[in-house]
Amino acid sequence: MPSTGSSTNVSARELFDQWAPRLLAFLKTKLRTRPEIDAEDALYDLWVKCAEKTFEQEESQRMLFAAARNLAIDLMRKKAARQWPETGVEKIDPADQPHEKLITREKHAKLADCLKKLDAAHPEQARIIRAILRGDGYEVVCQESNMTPAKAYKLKFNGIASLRKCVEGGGEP
Amino acid sequence: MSIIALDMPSERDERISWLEKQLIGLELGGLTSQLEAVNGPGDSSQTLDTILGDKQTGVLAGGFSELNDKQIAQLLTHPRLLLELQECVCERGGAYWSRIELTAGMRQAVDRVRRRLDVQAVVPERTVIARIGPWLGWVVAAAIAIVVAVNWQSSRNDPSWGWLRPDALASSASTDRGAYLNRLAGSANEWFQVRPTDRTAAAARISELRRGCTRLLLSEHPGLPPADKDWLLERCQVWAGKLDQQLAFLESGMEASQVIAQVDETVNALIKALRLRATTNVS
Repeated sequence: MPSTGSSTNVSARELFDQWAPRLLAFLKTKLRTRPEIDAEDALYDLWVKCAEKTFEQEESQRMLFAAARNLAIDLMRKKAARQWPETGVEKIDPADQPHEKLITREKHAKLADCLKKLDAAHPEQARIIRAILRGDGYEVVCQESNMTPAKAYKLKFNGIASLRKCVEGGGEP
Repeated sequence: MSIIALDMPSERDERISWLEKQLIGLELGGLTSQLEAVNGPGDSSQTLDTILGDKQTGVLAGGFSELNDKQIAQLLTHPRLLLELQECVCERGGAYWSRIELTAGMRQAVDRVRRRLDVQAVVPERTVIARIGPWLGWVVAAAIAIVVAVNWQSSRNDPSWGWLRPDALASSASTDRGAYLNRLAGSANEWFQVRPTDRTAAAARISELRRGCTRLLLSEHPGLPPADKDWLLERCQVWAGKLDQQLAFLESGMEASQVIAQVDETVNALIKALRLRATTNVS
């Protein structure tokens, strides 16, 4: 594991506890278009690769995230190298899980679709959910729609339940 | 896959805290594409600089509470910028972002990687044996076995985790109080590294945590001002009482998993309290 220079005396474990969550979040986002590459594996590889390195605590954040960025690029390149050069179509590999990516994309599209259906079935519920998802608070929603906070809360609660049902189960909102 | 966007709270303070958690969480990619599906990608001329303006440094140091409602709304309606912001926070964000409570999923994921690294740490010994040949290898293996046995025995007598770890409470009058309280929180977090499944193992683990409390109660904490020290002792007595009670539940027949879940709550609460205290100014 990496460690910091003797002047700061921070153990590898402390370094891991301090940075591992943010590194994992960083790697997960960097690798999001490649769900077949596991971010936990990448974090493990990163820590093993940094095993012999020693650096000052002040620069640990910069060094670790630079290494994480390079590792993510390497992993993506390795995947890209497996594409057919002429067509750009990816070779079929049983280890990859492109269907997972498709399912996720479909569900996100379905969320928008279900919200449209909610617009038609329960416009007030749809309006309040759209308002919250674009960052408006209850006070703005209540003011604009001239409704009480209790009513707004109930509409949001019912609207979310309908949307979840529609996205997960395929039912009408 | 969960529709995480639908979990977004509608009250400002809760939403800020939730968004911060997502920004350093594992589901930001999902959240941004869900927001994009509903709100659209947003105006491409908007950048982090135009939205955050002179608050960018403030966000890196102190989180989203630096932003006004309009700025938060602009981030939600330009979801891709949340991904950019995550990169900035990871690479340049200050200690504030390390104090944010982790989601259960993140904690478990980090624990899994930590366990794999702990296991990997013994591999070089095996490599040495393979290189020096079978005969000498056996001698070395026997020597390693003795060392491991001795270490195992001593670790059974004095578990080296949490507040029982020899350096866990090391401090001097010049120690930074915030760093010390955060270190105590970090040590307490080691509770989650081992997940006992039976009642005997659970009792041993909880007893070790409880002994750590005793050590905390009896220590001088020279790095803490009197107000912090009083607070810590008062809180620690409460935590110790809860652990005693949970141990009693276990001894009276309650399932290990139920008691462990209760201890998890206690430990999470005490970590949160320590981290919050670390950010609070005391006179």
